Amino acid sequence: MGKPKTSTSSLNRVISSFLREMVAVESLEDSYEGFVRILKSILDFNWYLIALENEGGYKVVHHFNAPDFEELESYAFWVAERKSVSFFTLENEELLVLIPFIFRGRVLAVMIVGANQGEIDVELEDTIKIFALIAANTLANLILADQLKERNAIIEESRRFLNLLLDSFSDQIAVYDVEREIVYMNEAFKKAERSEDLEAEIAGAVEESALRKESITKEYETSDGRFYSIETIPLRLEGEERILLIVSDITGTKELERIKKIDRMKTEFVANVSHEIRTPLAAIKAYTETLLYSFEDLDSETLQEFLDTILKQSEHLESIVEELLDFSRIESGTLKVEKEKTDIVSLTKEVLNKLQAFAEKNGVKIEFESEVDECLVEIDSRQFRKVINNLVSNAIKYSDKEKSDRWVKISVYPRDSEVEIIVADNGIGIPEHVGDRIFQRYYRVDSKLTYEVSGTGLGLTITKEIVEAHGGQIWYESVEKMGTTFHVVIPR
Amino acid sequence: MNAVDLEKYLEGIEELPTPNFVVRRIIQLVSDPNTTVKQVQNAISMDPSMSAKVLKLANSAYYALPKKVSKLSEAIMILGFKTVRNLAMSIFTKESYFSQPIPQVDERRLWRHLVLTAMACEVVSEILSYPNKEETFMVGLLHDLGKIIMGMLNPILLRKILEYARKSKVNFYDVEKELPIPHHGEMAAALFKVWGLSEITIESARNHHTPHRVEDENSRDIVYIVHVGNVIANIVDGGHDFNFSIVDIDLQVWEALNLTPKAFKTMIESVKNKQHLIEEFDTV
Repeated sequence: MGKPKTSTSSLNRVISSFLREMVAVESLEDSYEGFVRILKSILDFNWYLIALENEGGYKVVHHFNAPDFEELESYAFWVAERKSVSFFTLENEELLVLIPFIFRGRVLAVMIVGANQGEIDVELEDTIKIFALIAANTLANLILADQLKERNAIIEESRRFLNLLLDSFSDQIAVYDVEREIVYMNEAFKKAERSEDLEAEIAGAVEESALRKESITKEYETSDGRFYSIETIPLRLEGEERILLIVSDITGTKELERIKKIDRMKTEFVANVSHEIRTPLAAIKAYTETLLYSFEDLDSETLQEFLDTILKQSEHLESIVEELLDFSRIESGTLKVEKEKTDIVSLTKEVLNKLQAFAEKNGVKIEFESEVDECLVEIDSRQFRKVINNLVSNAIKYSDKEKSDRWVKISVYPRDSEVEIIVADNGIGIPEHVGDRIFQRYYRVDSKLTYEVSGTGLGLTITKEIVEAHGGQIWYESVEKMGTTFHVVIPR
Repeated sequence: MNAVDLEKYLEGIEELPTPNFVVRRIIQLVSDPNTTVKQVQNAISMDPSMSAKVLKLANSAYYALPKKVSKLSEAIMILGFKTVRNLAMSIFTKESYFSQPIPQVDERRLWRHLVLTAMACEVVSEILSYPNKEETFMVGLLHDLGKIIMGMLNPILLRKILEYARKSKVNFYDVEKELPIPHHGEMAAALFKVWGLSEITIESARNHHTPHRVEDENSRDIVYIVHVGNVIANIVDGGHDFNFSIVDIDLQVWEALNLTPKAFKTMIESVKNKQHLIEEFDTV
């Protein structure tokens, strides 16, 4: 017995036919015709069918002149079990050739042909076996390709659906890779205009999240006053690190919060102002009543004292009402400044003189300093007096009781085109977190209704408005427990 | 064993049963591409007992034909040339080597192992898409014939090897390879050379325990498949072939055949499902 031989010519024929036929094949359906043509080159047959394995049965996918498959089904099942090419002679002398296409032990399809061939030799059997083997391989690859196409279509469909969902969000969504390059962005992210500072904030959050490998949520107010929530979440996608970014515009929510806060401050303000007005009013009423019912019993010295008190309290009341009127003018935008040449040095001295008694009462020393004796500035002297008054009286009001030496120092520095007035004290100072809110209407550092220090909470608002109405600027520096320095600069 | 002894040994091999004219004719015909069904039919018909047995096997549950076959020509067409040759070879081997008691050997159990290995080789070929699965069937059927030969020629040696293997819980070949005599694979190879079988059959018998020693490119795949078939037969129904320990698969074979745990498991399952058909080959 030699080693198994197959005439090389017929084997070559099969292999070269396969190469020729299968180059053009693009789908499963294309391949069937090809198989038929290749088999024709080695066997003469009248009819054929190809049945694909289908859920445990066989389904004819291609045929020519073939008899009813029901008659042949048992042969198909048998040859699938036998897993080898077989020949049966039918009663009509026709030769039934059963060809199973087996790939990795699995029967993918069965091809059955009705041949005229009377005689079978070893070569024919071997050649058909080789044909079956190559056909099975081809079929397996085509089935795999079809499945891949189908799977891709499903994946593509889900991707499209997901995109549709993500694109319908108003939140901006993006995914960054390890290089911090954007690998995905939704429609909102694409369309949104982000200011430079917001972009910088986003980049920072992405970087931080990537480095710390944890989610970060923060809120950011842009320079143009919009609020954003920035959320970054580190993810592992397909074994790679990614950062998911969600940016939401929460300006609307923030605005609502602000309105609510203002409303609350207004309520506090009303309570506060009522208290401020009632105190002098109660005093005036009490002294007036005493005068009315006990006039004869009072000596002239006491009378003098009572009337003094009534006058002082009336003046205080007047100043409160004046402040409220100023504020309502600011609110309604009808605050007017009538500028005229005024000597700011003498104006300041005048205000300080008036506050001297109040300062002494609080144990605060007022110091004044000016490089010049006179400095003419275009201001509304009535309004500007309030500026000096408010700043200095605040300095006195918020003096530090724990310090034995308490002072407020007012300096006037004339310059070429402007004048700077500095009001410095060694009082309790303003906490750092307060910032510019000190100039907000109704704002009081100590918003609790303790009334330890009297005031409407409007003083600095009015002050700022007046300074700005003069085209000037006001700002301050402060260290808690050390003191505060206010700067007012107005053009000359 | 010195040269003189070895020669005597081989003399003994030459005296063992050899395929008769009919079997030799069938083998020769099937290896010729131009052989027709009629020629093979004529050859088998010369031995009426062989004809009857081929028909009986063809109609057995092992092949489960869709219709009963009464003519030899039909059996040849349906089963194929090489399967018919394998049947003739099975019939000869069973009759000549497994029909009378052999000292130290339970010949029925060893026959079971040979048939199961032959079936396993076919399964492995199918799953690996190896084209000549009928060839692997025959090689699988013959691979352990050397053990029977040892029982016929040197029963005392066989007994000693068996006793040692059983006691030490090792495999037959593990003991053999330490001895200065030809092992069972080499003995079978010597016999098949006498019979005039193909080089791949001889190589498979010689190296089914030592597949890495195969140098001939043409034989390599089939030797590897027989090696795997033998391992699977031992997993499915072990202990019939004088092995008292696990029969390991060669790593080089595993890699060369691109085996995967999944494919290997499928092979084992398929062989298990066919195990009950071993008896069909007992009737020959």
